[in-house]
Amino acid sequence: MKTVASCVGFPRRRHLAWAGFLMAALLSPPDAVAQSGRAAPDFTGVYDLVPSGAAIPDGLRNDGSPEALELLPAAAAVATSRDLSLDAAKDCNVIGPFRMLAHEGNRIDILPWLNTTRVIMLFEDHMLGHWREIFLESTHDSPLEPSWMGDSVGHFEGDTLVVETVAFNDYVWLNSLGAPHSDALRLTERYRLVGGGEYLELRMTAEDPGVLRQPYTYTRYYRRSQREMQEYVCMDGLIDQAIPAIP
Amino acid sequence: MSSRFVSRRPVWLVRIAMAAALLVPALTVAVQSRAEPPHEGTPPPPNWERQWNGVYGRQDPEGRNAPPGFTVLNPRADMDDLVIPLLTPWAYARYEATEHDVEDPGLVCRPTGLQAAHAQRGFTLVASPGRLTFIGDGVDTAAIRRIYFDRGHLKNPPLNYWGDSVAHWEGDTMVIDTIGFTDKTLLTLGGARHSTDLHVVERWRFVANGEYLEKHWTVDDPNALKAPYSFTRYHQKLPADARMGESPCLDTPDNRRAWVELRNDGVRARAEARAAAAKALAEATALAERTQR
Repeated sequence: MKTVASCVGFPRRRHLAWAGFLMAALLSPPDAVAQSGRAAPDFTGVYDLVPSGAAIPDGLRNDGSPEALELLPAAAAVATSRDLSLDAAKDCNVIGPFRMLAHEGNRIDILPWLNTTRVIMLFEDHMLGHWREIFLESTHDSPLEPSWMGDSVGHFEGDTLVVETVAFNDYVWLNSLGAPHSDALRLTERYRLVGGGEYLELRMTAEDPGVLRQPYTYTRYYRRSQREMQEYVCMDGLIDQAIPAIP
Repeated sequence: MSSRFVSRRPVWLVRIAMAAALLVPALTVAVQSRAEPPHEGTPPPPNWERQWNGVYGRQDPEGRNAPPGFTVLNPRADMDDLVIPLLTPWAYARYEATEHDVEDPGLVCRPTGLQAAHAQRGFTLVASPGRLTFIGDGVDTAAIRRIYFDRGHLKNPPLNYWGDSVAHWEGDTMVIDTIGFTDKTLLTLGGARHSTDLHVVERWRFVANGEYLEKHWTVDDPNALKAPYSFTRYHQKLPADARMGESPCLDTPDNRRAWVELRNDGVRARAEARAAAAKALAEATALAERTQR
């Protein structure tokens, strides 16, 4: 059994790394590390999405895209019938983790929650990404209230954090082309550190048997950033566009 | 040996190497000097993260919620009757000119800044090394706020809805100092304005056997306020399994459609303005050409 406390500790800055590690160790239940046999990897930190086409060590590269989903005919008809001007991404509204984690320019802030079994993921563009809590050592609540970000539970498989998310509301599109989803949509994210811990690899898989021809996986790489998360207010641009008179 | 090694290199290469040797430390100093050094204060309370991490409850609408034996300083649903009399003539004129429907950030899905402090919303706190992160209930408007322990204020902070917050400890009290506010936010629900010189000092501590977080705020602005003012609010810490949930500001397609219409109106208005300007320019140019002939 691993706890959040056993898998956190690396701070934003290298000179605090040991302090963070020590604190995480001190706050871990004493049996956590002993039972796992090794410390879980630490994902804590700020990350920048590596732009598509950018070079990553070891020949790694971003692959796939939400726009490449292959829809079954009925779902394709729904997508075709949609008014794309109502895409949430055009109005600073939440687009869900499947799209957001592939969203160009995305910056994420992964936070520990030292005395509980949660991991928090914040997005610099928090109107598109909102925020997420990933509950470790937990199962999905039942019944689940559909939401924009879904209900996320996680566990470790070796050095990989596996996050499973279900229960999305119908407002969420799977891509900018209006791809719908059903109540059966299940996202599986597999996170692991690569490149000597400098990069976070995300393999995102969407499964929705009534909508997708087959499960689809894209890969994205995020690079650790020493730059603090900034306050970004998506609505500023929208309002400036909508109401030019507002200062 | 090293001198012989260097001497075989072209002079320009040596110069580049020397410049780089000088430049790297200079750049390092430049990056580090973007912020003031952190305030030393006292050592943090032992295992403070364990106590502070968590979800905190809402207040009653009037802000009167307090544990037994504690009294709220300046409880109010909004702070108008306290703050408006303190406004300088400049700030009062801005207050009177404010178009509330569009300039209240919370009404247009912008972070409310200090105004949210008076409201009854709950929040989540997450401690991490060198930082405390505040996640407001209603992230879009209550905002995400990062409070840094490992640095002082940025020397040229960007002007933000929540400003630039740094903190230190005074015993069991976390003292948070915030500057660098945009002047788009309001001090009160009624629309009291402030300037970018707004300065807020908060003193947060646990009271009532650790069941409540007490927040004491002191608000000052030499341009907007004739005198600083203070208030307190109390938030009960909720059980460890409490969840805050999500609450997007534009949470339904109907809301979005309203925004799309507004956006399209704006785009249309701009296009019409551009077309009118281009037409006027063309007419002026034609007139000038005719005059020259």
